Amino acid sequence: MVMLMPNKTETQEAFETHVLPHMEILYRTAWSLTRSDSDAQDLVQDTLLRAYRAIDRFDGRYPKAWLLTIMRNANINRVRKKKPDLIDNPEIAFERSTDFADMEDPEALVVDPMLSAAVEDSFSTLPDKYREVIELVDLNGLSYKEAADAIQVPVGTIMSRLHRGRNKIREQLGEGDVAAIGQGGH
Amino acid sequence: MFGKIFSRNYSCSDTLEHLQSYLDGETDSKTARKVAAHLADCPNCTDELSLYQQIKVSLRAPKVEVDPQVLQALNDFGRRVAQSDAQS
Repeated sequence: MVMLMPNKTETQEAFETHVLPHMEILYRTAWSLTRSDSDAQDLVQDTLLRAYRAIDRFDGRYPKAWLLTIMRNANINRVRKKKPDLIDNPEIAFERSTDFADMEDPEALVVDPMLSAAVEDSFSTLPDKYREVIELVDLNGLSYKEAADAIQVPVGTIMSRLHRGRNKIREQLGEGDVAAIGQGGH
Repeated sequence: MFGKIFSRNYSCSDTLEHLQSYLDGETDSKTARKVAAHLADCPNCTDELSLYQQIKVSLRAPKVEVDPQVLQALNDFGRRVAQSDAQS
């Protein structure tokens, strides 16, 4: 028996190819931006709708960067709607921004949620030998010598695996991702 | 004296070779000074350092747990967006 399926449109195919595979990174990023499950889901849905409307103009290069740029803009609109006084009254915006000074982890100030999600995505695809060393040094804060002792390899091996692992993350981010992320999606 | 004669400033490629060790605080003080001196005058290498700093900091950031049901619901939503247009 032959099932007759409706033909997919080019738009639908492009959307399935370039957008749907990145759902997890979209949700992680949305959560980092909103810190709320329901807001994160709303933001992803808004991003999907915007991406669908724009996909005919997308050239297919760096889909992650393209999607994260859409999400960043969608999030700016979301914040404006929720807190219009932030836009209209710079003094209130400044007062609220000083709340960050009370945050426990000063590093949180410089974590870009867009880049963080892209890095996490790339890290998860690294071969085990690179991930292991990055976990020891970057996540657990060990020195090269301590990491070498921990897994019984020379310090030079730690250094080369660590550097190659980070280089692979950097390569996977791609020039387009780095540029788009660095520009803040504008 | 010979040290001064043969001492030279780091090029971009010298700096990039030591950049990650410098970032990790694993270079000797002489190398660290040369890298720092080069970075002070080279925006491209400084951008590269910033990127590796961001990668390092990002790796240490708390990870978001993703509920598989939420992910499934979002994937379903995405497919419905595409299908509703294809059928219209």
